[in-house]
Amino acid sequence: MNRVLTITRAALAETFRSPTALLSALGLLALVPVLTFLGGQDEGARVWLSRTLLVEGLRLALPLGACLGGAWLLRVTMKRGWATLPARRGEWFAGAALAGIALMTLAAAFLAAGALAAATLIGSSALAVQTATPKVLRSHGQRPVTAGPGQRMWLATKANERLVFEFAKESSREVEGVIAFEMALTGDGAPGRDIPFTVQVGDSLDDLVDAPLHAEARKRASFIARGRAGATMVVLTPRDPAVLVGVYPDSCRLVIHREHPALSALWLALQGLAAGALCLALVMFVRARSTAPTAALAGLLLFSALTLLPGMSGAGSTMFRDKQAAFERTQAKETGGKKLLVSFIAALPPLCPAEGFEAYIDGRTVEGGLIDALWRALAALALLPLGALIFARRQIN
Amino acid sequence: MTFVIFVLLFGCARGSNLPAVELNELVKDFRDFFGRRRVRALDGLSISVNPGEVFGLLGPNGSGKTTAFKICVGLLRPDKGDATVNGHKPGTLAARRATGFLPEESTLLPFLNARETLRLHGALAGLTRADARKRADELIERVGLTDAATRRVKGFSKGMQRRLGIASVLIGDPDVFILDEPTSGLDPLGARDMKELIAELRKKGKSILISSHLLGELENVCDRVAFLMHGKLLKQGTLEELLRRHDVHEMHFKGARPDDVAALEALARERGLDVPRSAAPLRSLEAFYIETLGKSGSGAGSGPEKHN
Repeated sequence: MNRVLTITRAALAETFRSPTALLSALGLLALVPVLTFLGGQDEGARVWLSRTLLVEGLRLALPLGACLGGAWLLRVTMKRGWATLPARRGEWFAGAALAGIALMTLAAAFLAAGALAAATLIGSSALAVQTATPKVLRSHGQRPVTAGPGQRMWLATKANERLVFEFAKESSREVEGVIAFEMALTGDGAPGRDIPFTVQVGDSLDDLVDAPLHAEARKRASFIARGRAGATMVVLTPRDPAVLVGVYPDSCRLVIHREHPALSALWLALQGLAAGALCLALVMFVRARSTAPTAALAGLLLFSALTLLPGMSGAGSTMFRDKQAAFERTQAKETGGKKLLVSFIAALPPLCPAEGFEAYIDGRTVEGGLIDALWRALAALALLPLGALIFARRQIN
Repeated sequence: MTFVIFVLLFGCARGSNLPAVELNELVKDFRDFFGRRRVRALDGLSISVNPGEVFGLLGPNGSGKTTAFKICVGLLRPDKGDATVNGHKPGTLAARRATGFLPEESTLLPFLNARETLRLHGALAGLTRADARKRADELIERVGLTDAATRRVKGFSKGMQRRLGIASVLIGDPDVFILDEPTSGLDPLGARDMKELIAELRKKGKSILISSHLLGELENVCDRVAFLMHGKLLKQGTLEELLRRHDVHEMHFKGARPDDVAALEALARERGLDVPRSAAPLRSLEAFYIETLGKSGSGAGSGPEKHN
């Protein structure tokens, strides 16, 4: 272990002293503030940019950097280290991997620090904290049905359905909230609106007022009902016959108070780091037996498979199946091989779970996600000793 | 009791007789992606380096010297045959601890300075921090890099990198040194220092396996040499066995005047001997270079000059 740490320290010292080290650190630190002020036309755009740049930096750029850095980091460090006796080649491999993870951590820290500085500079230094899951009633005519936990419900305009979210009375503030939703096409024409439903707020079903909706992102809308302080009921009514609206019980949340984004940025950084570590471990694992370009390619394949495929599956076949199951009440008619492939793709875990990152872009606080990050970190940790073993057995000509 | 003494004596004797490096019928092929043989780098190579011996491996580029060395340090595995270093299989911890390897190409980290590089190698060799620091300072002085101790390796000349490389090999004080083209990139003064260092290591009882395609480099330092060609051993033996000529006799006279020389030549002819050459010998260019630059005090060469 001492030798591994010695190698890690040497590799880090080597990196910090390279001519590009200071430039890279400053670049990462200034990236979000500079792009935010250059690209943002108004305050809203600047806020959105500062959040989006951090999110994309952590969930896309960091794993991509790990893929490329892992392939060539090993080459640089290992090529110079393999002949040093009596250190084992496996120890050089582990030392290089640790140095890579340390560098990724520093990169994430610089990026996040820049994003938080940008948020402070533009006066958007707070994220909204929202309530716990409400009690949800599906009201069809006069027969309300309570939704089970985690149960997704589809609402059709034609069926005259609506959802009622009942919240505990939290405060006397005006009611402000966010609704995340999904859409499935009914086949009755093209969707006509960004937000295929209306929202009303009140204390009872007989006393509701319309709440203006604002599309915050794709399939996410916020609402605010002024003059209805302390209201406990939010009613969602679909209004587009071409679309089925899918909602989970925890899709609707009310804003209770606001918090500093530093903690949320930390959770996101941990998730991004775990994803980056997984990419780095895979790249180094492949690199232990092959060339740097091959290893980088393997990392990029993993990255694209776990970033693009789950999302494509969700937008395509899975939604189609859901629509069939919800609206036509029939089983999917897919053939065996295709069904298997679609199921496999749908079951792929995303490299970075989207929820936390999208919540941050929406200006909400990020909670949890640590278990996911832990699994990815453990997968990376499992790959590294295997890579070290393979590298130790590799013949070096 | 007698049995115990016998075992101890036998064991000691056996241990001391173990070859420092032994290569036995080594065969190594390099293959392409599809497993087809591209080139046979070693073809039944067998050599044995005794403890305390300097053994030179000679041959043209591509003759298999570096492949043999890489097998000795566990970077390559032979397809056939076996190798041992101090009785241990190459690549094992015991073998690695016993071996100091100077590869042909520098593997130093470019942004560390000389002192840090040696401390790193010292730490990897298992020295304590204090010992590594002390030994690094000693070796920096020993290889003539005192003025460059805090300079980054990236700015070193090839010769300086070579000196630092040999210092990094020395820091772990191994028993067996495997030096691949150790004088490559060194100026004549550096090459002479390297030869002195090898002689010093031999005095300390270290075993050295050394390669070069420059024959003059090895002539004065090796006890035995082997000649390789296309991975095959052509010849091996002591320098005395290989180089001694029995059809010519050479005598050197100091302070001989021209009439003395003429008289000696006449005497030789009287006795029926052929005298094809009789002249004052020329110094070698290397000796002249060392004498000139050594006297001017430049570089690291300030040691005693060797004259015939």
